[in-house]
Amino acid sequence: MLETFWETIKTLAAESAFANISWQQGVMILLSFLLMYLAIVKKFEPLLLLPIAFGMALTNIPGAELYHPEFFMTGNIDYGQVLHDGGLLDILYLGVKLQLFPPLIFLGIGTMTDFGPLIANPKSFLLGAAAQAGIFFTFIGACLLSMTGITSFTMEQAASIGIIGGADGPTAIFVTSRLAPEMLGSIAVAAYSYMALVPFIQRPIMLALTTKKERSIRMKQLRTVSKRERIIFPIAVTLLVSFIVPDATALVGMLMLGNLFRESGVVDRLVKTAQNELMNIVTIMLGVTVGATATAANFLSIETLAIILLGLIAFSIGTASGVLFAKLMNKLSGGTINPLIGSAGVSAVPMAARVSQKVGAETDPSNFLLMHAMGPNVSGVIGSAVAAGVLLSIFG
Amino acid sequence: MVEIAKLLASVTKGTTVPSEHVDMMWATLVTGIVVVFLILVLLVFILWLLGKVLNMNFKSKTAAPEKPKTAPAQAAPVTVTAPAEAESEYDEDDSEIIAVIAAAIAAYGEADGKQYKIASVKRKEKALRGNWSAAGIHENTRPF
Repeated sequence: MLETFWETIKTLAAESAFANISWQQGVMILLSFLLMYLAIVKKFEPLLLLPIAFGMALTNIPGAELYHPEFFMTGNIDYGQVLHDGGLLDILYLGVKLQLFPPLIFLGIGTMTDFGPLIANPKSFLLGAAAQAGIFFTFIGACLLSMTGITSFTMEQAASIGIIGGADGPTAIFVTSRLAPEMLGSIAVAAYSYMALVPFIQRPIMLALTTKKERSIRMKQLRTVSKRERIIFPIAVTLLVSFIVPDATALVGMLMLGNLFRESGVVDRLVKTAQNELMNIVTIMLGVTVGATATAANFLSIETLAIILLGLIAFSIGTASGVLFAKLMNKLSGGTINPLIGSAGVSAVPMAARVSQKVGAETDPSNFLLMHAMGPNVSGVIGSAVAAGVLLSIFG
Repeated sequence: MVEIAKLLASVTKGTTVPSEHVDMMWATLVTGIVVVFLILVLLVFILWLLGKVLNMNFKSKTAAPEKPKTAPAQAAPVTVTAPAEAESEYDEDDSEIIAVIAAAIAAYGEADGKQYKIASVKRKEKALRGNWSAAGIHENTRPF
């Protein structure tokens, strides 16, 4: 009997993670601790970064078998195998793989977004478009980097890296899960970390590209937007965008559906659910499973470092192009547009608008730029979804 | 343009190496920026049109976040006296707003046969943001 006892103990020991862990997995678990620290203590986008961090820890425990990257990396996924042999995170990951979670998050975001400032001043749309240039220039950057031989990104992977510049988590996950699922973990971590760093990244660029005089421009009061306009807006945007770029329909359609729920005023319970319960449920599942894709094999590579660097470049170019285009619009409109709102064209709502407000207030404390910056900010959400649609239609 | 790029991509899907498809690389950049701009310009135009169509009877009477208090009194027709506080940088905006509010009150009072005269304009000592503005900021900067 004693022998059996010892045999069992030995088997348990052999199967335990202590016996089977590789140093890479150890590093990943330590890295997940860093991300947890950033999320909990430094409050870096904790709603997503915390589940991502923990998912990263869970997936790198050998023997736990919660997530099998090999199930999902083939061209034709065997869903039967996933359901039969899959662990907890494999099953939940289906929501990401089947492109379910990001559009649902967009539904929730739509119920929380007020497009009033944008409808009142449609020119803000152009700033949302300008800031998306960061996406495409980063795409070029990733391609060029690969051409030098330091990294070997395919164009699909380059497109996924580029979408980080959209500063939109769900959009980045939506595109990456389709074009470059093997990089989902790295790209999601980079995207959410940089979104938390928006104030630090944007401020120096905004200050460098604008003069004090431009920063103190007071903008005209926004007109009030009628309820009819607010209701027609989501419908019109959905139809227009999806007719031109059908691949963007999932994201833009759900965003606008949420907004229509909110503006119609007749489906208050749906709005409440979408804003709260639905968002929270999807956020939890999305976060944990995206973190789970960050296995040691996927994450610890020169590619990840390149992604982190390129992500920073993406945000910076997006900010710069937004500000520069706003300066152009300012010149053309005879000095009525404060260029600081241009940087809000990146899709990080409402952080980027807040940054515009703060930087404007540094120059002139009574300059109330926030509502003016919200216009480009929310148009950036639409802009990045359109850009995602374009990338998906080219490479998907 | 999107169709051409798509055709190129369908030839080598999933493993398109940039060095072999430099043309497509630049095509993507141009296509991407052009298409995003095009769509959003179209949206600008449609929204502007929408605004015009739906608001043909709309009179824009805007009110600034900071409102100075006016003290109405009886007797003479409405006259506007210059604001007492000159240190405020809202001076220029203030006169217009005071005129509008005074006119509104005067029009309102006309029905009862009253006439109003502005005796003085005093800035109400408050925080930088009024309650409505503060609520607006709070609403729009709620993290999610």
